[in-house]
This record gives sequence, structure tokens and C-alpha cells, in this order.
Amino acid sequence: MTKAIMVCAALAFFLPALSADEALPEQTLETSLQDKPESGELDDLFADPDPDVVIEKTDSDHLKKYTEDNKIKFSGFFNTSLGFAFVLKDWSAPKKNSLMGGIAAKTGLTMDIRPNSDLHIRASGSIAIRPTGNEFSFKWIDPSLDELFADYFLAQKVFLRFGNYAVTWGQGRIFTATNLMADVKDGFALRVTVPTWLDGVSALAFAKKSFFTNGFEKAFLHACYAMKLDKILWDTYISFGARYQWHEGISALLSIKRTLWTVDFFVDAAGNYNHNDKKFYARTLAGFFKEWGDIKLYGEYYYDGSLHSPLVPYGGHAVGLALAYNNVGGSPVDMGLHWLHTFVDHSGVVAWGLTWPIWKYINFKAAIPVFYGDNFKFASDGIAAYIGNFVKDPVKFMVMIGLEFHASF
Amino acid sequence: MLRKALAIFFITVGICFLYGDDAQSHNQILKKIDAAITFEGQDLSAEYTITKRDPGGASSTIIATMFRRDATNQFLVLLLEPAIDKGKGYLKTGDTIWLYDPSNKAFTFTSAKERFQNSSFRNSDFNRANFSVDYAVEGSSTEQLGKFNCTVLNLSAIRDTASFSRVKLWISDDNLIRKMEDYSLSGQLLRTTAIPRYQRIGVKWVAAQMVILDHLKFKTVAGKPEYERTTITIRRPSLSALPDSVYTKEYLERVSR
Repeated sequence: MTKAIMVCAALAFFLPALSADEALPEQTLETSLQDKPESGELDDLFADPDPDVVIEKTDSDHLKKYTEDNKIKFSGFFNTSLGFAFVLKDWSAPKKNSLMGGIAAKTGLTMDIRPNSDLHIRASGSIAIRPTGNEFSFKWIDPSLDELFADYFLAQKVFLRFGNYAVTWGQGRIFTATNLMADVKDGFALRVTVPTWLDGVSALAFAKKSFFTNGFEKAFLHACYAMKLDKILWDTYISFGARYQWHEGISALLSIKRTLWTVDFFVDAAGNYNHNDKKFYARTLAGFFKEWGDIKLYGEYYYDGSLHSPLVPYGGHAVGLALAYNNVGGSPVDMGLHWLHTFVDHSGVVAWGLTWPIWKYINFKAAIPVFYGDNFKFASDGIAAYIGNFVKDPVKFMVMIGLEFHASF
Repeated sequence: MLRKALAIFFITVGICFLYGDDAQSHNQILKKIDAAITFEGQDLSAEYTITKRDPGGASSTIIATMFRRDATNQFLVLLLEPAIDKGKGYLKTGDTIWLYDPSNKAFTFTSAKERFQNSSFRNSDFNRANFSVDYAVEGSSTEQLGKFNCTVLNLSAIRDTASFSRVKLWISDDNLIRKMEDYSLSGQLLRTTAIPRYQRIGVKWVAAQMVILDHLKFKTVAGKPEYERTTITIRRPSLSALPDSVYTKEYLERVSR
């Protein structure tokens, strides 16, 4: 208060000296902020709000429902689809086409057991029936065990997982060849993770049948060993992983990802050196991902140095672009557009797809892939791989429609 | 001429004197706000119900559980509803936020400034309050907000980690934020948040209900703009201690079914 009086007294003495010559410009801090009458729209909430409360019970255990409730939980799904496809094999011979149809079904069951907060056991399997080809014939796909593993948190510091499960390295959504650990799900693996070191340090040892070409003698020498380090530095995700297996040699992956202007940009650089044949090759993946509400856009460029040969002197290059639009125009319809192109033989595919939930549990699906180029050997595409199961000859154009019934519990 | 120069000098010193004193007291208010709603040395968990109403009427509800440890600037958010998002989780460690999607068992790296599940609620809204560190006070006034006598502070961001460039706070006599306006650098009003009711846990406070208007998403209805409105209700706040392992990616992967 004393300071204020002193300042006011000084102002009263000196201010007339200034005002005689010029007026100070009127300036308030409010003028820099946009005046929006709508900002007062919520003021009615303060006219007569409920009083603040005091919480007496402060020991609710919110973790319990995730760790101990439902110690054994079963879940599953049943999916069946009926589909038809019009297939054109040659643009210059439109009569060279065929009409195909088929029914497929799949059911799966998952069991999740949590005896206590440190131990978790999970098992899931499925069985399916699929059409075999152009004729209306079907075959059962052998029941598969999709996952079977146990998690254990040792002293709340070290995380252990043992069994059959998937591991994902790399950042590709369209091209996944930089996922060096894609084959882990084909065998049994032990993973040890210390989440508090750096931003996560993992070591993994796994074995699958193809590793042991000379039987199981000295099996520990022929198993695969891998390690991965994650770190966030200056808002940039950096990950380095390496794996070694006697027959395959050593493979390494460096992944970098950063968000710029609200777009995710990433690069994967992988290499493999096989000491058995003294050969080295590199693979690179670069891409972006952007999301606006219900719209997702991502694109990737992929280089595969393992294709380097006299016929493919510069290795294999491919690009992919995908656009997904969920709830088109506020409707329940989801649409997608997908383009893959390989520079090896300048072939590719453009595909449009739609999913429309027309009734409870029932979806209408449609897809139109258009293939160009002669061969389309290189790019690994879900649609091409799926089609390849049924169509022996190259395909140029397809229209696929179908109904799907999907229920889960 | 000399008198004029002396006048300018003493007025400048006087304003700095007064303003410096006011700036210090305003910063004290910000520190008191941060202290009132920050839980140093404790874990805070609660159930969040986030209801978003689009302009024009369609609404959606998200139910999630939040676990927060302010001492290490970490939080974990696990989604329970809608069913399609059940099992998804957000984990913040340091300045990094990971989003886990159980459908493809993948972690993606997201930003605190991004919207939480496409609502007006941001990932950073789960964070501990840090107004006294992230912002500087540019000006103040007093205003009556319903039944609350409020000090109004105009803040501008001084760190990149702040979600909004400029913020205007209405602070009631009990040092609680009752209303907040978030602005862009150009002065455009982006969001208005009202917190009419708090709940006290021990000596700390947690909002009981918040209402957010998103001024970037609106539709004209009957000649008036109708903004996207998000209502957040926070229930059963708890101070139960949580193990360190809760704030790890491995834990998030385990509990997401």
C-alpha cells in the first residue's frame, strides 16, 4: 500500500508535464484478445451451481477391475461371409472373365487368466472354413493356436513373457518387411523387458522348427537372439534393434519417428549380413501418417536391397498410399482407397473398398481393385495375396461384393 | 525538457514498481492454483465420463479410468467405452504420450496437444497443472462470475509445452479456476472451459464437472452458432498408492484386453 501511495504521488507531480504535450495512446490488454460474446455462453452454469463437495472415501481401487476382477475371462467371435466376384483377366479380351462366389466362416475363442496382479496367462485359437477355388468347394483350415503365453512382472521392475505371441518391430503400415521379428509368432519366445531403462530395453530369445536343420543338437546355438532399445530424445522416437541367428546372420533395424506440423514422419533402416555366404543387403522404409477426425491418410516408400540383381540392378522400389474415411458424412459407412506401385516392373493396384453395417451384426462389403502393369510380382499386398489364393492367372479388374455376419462376446 | 525526462523516468520506475509487485502477486496466485490441484507425492486415480455433443445434436460418450502421478509427470488412461475402443490406452511418460491399440497390439507416439479421442478434451488436460511455469501474466482484472467473485488473469505461454498460446483464467477466492478461455497466438478463441464444481480430497481439489465449448467446431442453428460441447464428469477420485509398473508400456499392454 505504501508503495502504491508513493507511485501515485510521483504520478500526480510529473504527469501534467507529459499531458501538456501529448496524450498517451489508450491501450488495454483486452484489445489483443478477440471479443467473442459466445464465450459467455457457459456463464449460466455459475448462477446457482451445486456446492463443492468433500470426498471422504479416497481409497477406491480403480486398478482392481483391470487386474483381479474376472480372474478368468472368455471371449470370442464368429464370422461368416458370403461373397461374389466378377473377375476380368485381360482388358483386350473382355469376354475372358469369370464370375466367382463363395462362403467362408471363422470362429475364435480367447481365454484370459489373471490369478493375481503379477501373473497373466492368455490363450487364443481359431478354426475356419474357406472356398478352395473357382468351383463351389470348401475346405477346413486346421485349427490354429494363435497365441499362448504367460506374462510375469518380477518385483514390479522386470517384465517377462514366454510362449507363442506376436512381436512387432518397425513402423510400416503398408509395407511391413522392416518388421524383423515377424516370424516370432511361428515359434516360442522368451522376452525380458525393463521398462524403466531408457524408454524400454528388451531382450528376446526364440526358437522355431526351421532353425534346427540338424536336429536339436546344440539348440541354444541355433536359436535366435534379439535386443531392442527405445529412447525419446528431443521429441523424436529412436529405436535400435538387432537379431542374430546362425543360419540367417545378423540383422539390425534403426527406427526414427517425429511429429512435425501434426504429421507423423518415420524412417526404418534395416540391414542384414549373413556370415555364411558373406552377403549384405539393406531395406529402407519411409513414410508419413496424418489423421483428421474420421479421416486417416498414410503413405510409404519402400526399398528392398535383397532384390538387387542383374535383372533388378537398383533393387526393388515401391510406394503405397492409403486413405481411410470412417463414418462418411456422419453415416455408418466406412470407405477406403489403397494404391500400391512397384518400380521393378511398373505394375500396381488401385483398390477402393466400402463397409456398410446394414443391420445388427451384418455388414455389406464391396471392393473394386484395378491392376495395371504386366506382372505385379514385387509389391506385397493383402488384396493381391488374397486373390492369389483363388485366381491362378493374372487379374486386371475385379468387383467384389459380399455380406458379412460378425458377432463377438 | 528536463522535467519531462524526469517525469518519464519516474513514471516508468513507478509502473515497474507497481506492476512488478502485481506480477509477483499474480504469479503467487498461479502457484496457489497449481498447488491446489497438483498431487505431489501421491497417485491420483478417477473415473472420467466424457460426453461429446456435436453441433446439430449427435452425441457420444467415452468412459475411461485415469491414473496420474504428478511427481514424475506420468499418467495412464484406459478406455472402457465405447466398446469399439475398449482396451485402448494412453500412457504419458516424461514429455511423450503413447497410444496403445489392442486390435493391432501397436504403440503409436502422439502429442499432448492432440484431442483425446477426437473430443474437445486434450491429452494434456489429464496432466498436472503447471500454469506458474508454462505461462506469464500479462494483465488482470476482477469480475463477477455468477455467484463467484473472480480474479481474471490474462496469460501468455512462455514454454513450447503449453497447449495454448494464450489463456484467460477466472479464479475464485478459494484459488480455484472456475472458467478458462484458450486462445491461439492470433487471439482467436479456441475453447471455453467452465468448472462450476470441485471435489476436495484431503487438502487438494479435483474438478467434479467440466464443460468445454469448442469454438472451432460449430453449426448455425436457428441463426445462432451452436458449438461442439463436451461435458466431463469425474467420479470416485482416489489417492490409493499405485505400483511403479502401472506407468509402463508393458503394463498398458497387459491390462488392455
